[in-house]
Amino acid sequence: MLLAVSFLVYGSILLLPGDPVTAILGAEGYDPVIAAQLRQQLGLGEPLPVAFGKWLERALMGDLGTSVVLSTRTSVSTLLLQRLAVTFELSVLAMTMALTIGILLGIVAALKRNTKVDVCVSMFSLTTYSMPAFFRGILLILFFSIFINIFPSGGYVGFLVDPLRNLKLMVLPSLSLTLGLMGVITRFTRSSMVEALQKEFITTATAKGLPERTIIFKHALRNALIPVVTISGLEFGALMGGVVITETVFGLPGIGSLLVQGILERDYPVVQGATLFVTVAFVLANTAVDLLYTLIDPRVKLGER
Amino acid sequence: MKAVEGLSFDVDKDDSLAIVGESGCGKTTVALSILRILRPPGRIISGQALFEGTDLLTMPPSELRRIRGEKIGMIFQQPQAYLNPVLKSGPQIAEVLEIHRGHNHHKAMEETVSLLREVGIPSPEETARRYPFELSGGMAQRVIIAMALACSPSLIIADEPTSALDVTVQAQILETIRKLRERYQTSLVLITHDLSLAAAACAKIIVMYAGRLVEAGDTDAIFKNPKHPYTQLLIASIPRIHSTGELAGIAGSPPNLVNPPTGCRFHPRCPHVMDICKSVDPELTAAEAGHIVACHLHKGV
Amino acid sequence: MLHLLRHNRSTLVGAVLFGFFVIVITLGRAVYQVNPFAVNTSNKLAPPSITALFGTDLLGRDLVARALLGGAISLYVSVLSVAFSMALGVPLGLVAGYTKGLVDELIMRVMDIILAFPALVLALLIVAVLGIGINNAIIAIGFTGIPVFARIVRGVVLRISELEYVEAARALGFGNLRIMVRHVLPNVRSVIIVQVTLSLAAAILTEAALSFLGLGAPAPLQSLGGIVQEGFPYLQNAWWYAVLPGILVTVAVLGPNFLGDGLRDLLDPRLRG
Repeated sequence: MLLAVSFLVYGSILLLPGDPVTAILGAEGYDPVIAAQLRQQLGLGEPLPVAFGKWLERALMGDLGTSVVLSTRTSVSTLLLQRLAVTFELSVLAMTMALTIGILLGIVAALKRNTKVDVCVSMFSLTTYSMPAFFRGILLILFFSIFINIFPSGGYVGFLVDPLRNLKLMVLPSLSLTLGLMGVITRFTRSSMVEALQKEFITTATAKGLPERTIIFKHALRNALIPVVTISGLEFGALMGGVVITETVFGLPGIGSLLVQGILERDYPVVQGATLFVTVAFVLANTAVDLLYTLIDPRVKLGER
Repeated sequence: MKAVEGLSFDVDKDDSLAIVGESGCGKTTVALSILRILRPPGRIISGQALFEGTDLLTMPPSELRRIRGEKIGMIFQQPQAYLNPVLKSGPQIAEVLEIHRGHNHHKAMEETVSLLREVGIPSPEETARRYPFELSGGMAQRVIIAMALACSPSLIIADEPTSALDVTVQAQILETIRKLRERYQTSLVLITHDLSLAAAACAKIIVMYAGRLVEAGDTDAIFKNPKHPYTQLLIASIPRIHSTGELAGIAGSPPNLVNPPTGCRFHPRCPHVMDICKSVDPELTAAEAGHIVACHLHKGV
Repeated sequence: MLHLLRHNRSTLVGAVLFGFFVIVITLGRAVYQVNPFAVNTSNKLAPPSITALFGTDLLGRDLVARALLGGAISLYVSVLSVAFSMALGVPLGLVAGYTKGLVDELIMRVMDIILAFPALVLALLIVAVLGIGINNAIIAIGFTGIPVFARIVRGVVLRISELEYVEAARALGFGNLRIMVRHVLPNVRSVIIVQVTLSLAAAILTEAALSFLGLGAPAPLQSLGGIVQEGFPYLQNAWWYAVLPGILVTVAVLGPNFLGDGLRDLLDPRLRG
């Protein structure tokens, strides 16, 4: 799977209309030396499988090529590593908040189903989830940075450099991502809980005289969370997409904004590198979720008889 | 729609009562109502459920919680469905002890193992570590029985405990229940559609039809002298080993409780139907001592 | 079909919202006869007033007019993208589900590979390769939507082809194509309808994202996302510039989302809360 993905990322450059190198460098930037380097780097002029193989080999060793932007001849991998911390922090914050709040809201909505609370929660999640990621960011900036100046609207400071400022800067961006992810998680948790609470073993739990909290959290939730785990894996994809937009809106120097920059500057090695990175992360996340799923559902773990 | 109407019965200490009837006659509703675990849209409109003097139906929930699982235990029909699939069997029994007796987990698990042994499970420690889906139907049902008996309750309500099991296992489970009842002197309310099962397990029988009580009395009395035509037909339909010929059934099908028949609810299917049956609902009267029936054929001794 | 709309509140709200949006977009420009391209540098970034209901943009153009045009473009790109996804996804799903075996495996593997990419990232990659433009945006967004359709269609086909009446039809000697059209297709229809609404919502969002990054329909025919991009730097002083198109996108997405939800509840009672 990873192989196929990387092949696609690599191979897409060949789809560039005309000569890839010219297309990348553009008419003005055409320097024969750099062109030759680029040509060699991209493996053009060699049969595809060989070229791909060489590219892959270098990639696995950490060399993803060099950025074509003439002013900064930095290696793509360096750029990625520099920006990794930002994207990582943003993703982790956003996903953790989304899961915590989303699941809790889902439980509340399930317990109070068909009441005003339930409807409100549904409306809220549907609305935030229907907003484009940039709009969530824009609204947050508008309310919490411009109208009421609590949080800054952009920029970045490393966590190790100034933890407090870092967190302050991260609040709005991660919140805008969280609001988007939450929608799906809440709705899924709700329907999953409602279904679980109607199962027969809940009747048994009640008949045993267990306190309500135990019934909800120990018996119903454990069952209800299983499909929620699977959906979280898919939500990672939305997270990745959202990260790209959010980093742009809030001016965070992460991998997402690097990708956008690369596309706008036609810096193809950067595009390849960033896309590869993000996609590999997504695939790995999904694999982790699959593994997690087999661990928490005993029926899968031991195989149903 | 009224699932159950005008029902009343007593169960004494160490006594056993069977509630018999076809599917849909309301017997499960009765069982679930006692401990107030009836699910919406079901509702208890009126009545009393006196347990050791106090009415369960008006008890505050926190007290009711203490009765459930500790004084009254329940056994259900499909053991696998009624056990939590993501928890191991042992802990599901242990939690009853932890909640009601205050044991810590270790002690609770020890007692669980001995409980499992008592209900006839051959390797109790191993079974306690298994998940419900790894157990056979009979084993799972024994786990449920162990769960119900964990705190030595005074009463067990068993709703079709053997219907989902193989015939051979049925007998074993019944035997297990009987032995445990003897040991702990637990009363039993058995809900079943199988009259012969009721006869084998219980000293008293109540027959229900379409949400109403139609006949009640000691098992012997009911079998020797069934008064209500429905009871008679039920007895006649029990297959006997040495009989030849066709199995007798009961013509017709259970009535729609949204629009029940007028008068005696059984009249459309009754072989002895009279005019009065179609318009007047018969009251319960005593046919002999300790044996009551609701039928126009028997208007008191 | 109409009675479905009336009975389920979600569907009704969705249909109303979306219908409202579409009508406003398509007929709005006939009613609101302001030229979206009319540059008027003396009136830049004006706040909402009687002459310009939502103010003007950085070149003095009326924002409402631009938003209406932008909405039309957003809709155009999104609808065509979904059509593209369906045009490729549905046949692939049908073939995969019906032929099973190696062909099925192959098709599904390819679908899995496409799904291995986060949707927006894949669209970005395609735009990076093909270049910026309306048609390329349609292809990019449409491409990301193919696997969903293929999967659900395949699912239905697999389920239906196991049913007895299809076996019977085959036994009677009906050709495969005929079976597919007469028996399988009608069942696929309801699943596709639900998915179309959900995919449309997703497409509108992806299109907005692409244009916001400057990679969607190029100026001067920007879609709503593009207008937001323009207005973003002026958030401090002219917040309506970015907010108006943003709200419009949200409304455009809410419609199909509600609709899809309601339809799904109706057509699959298991998921009802």
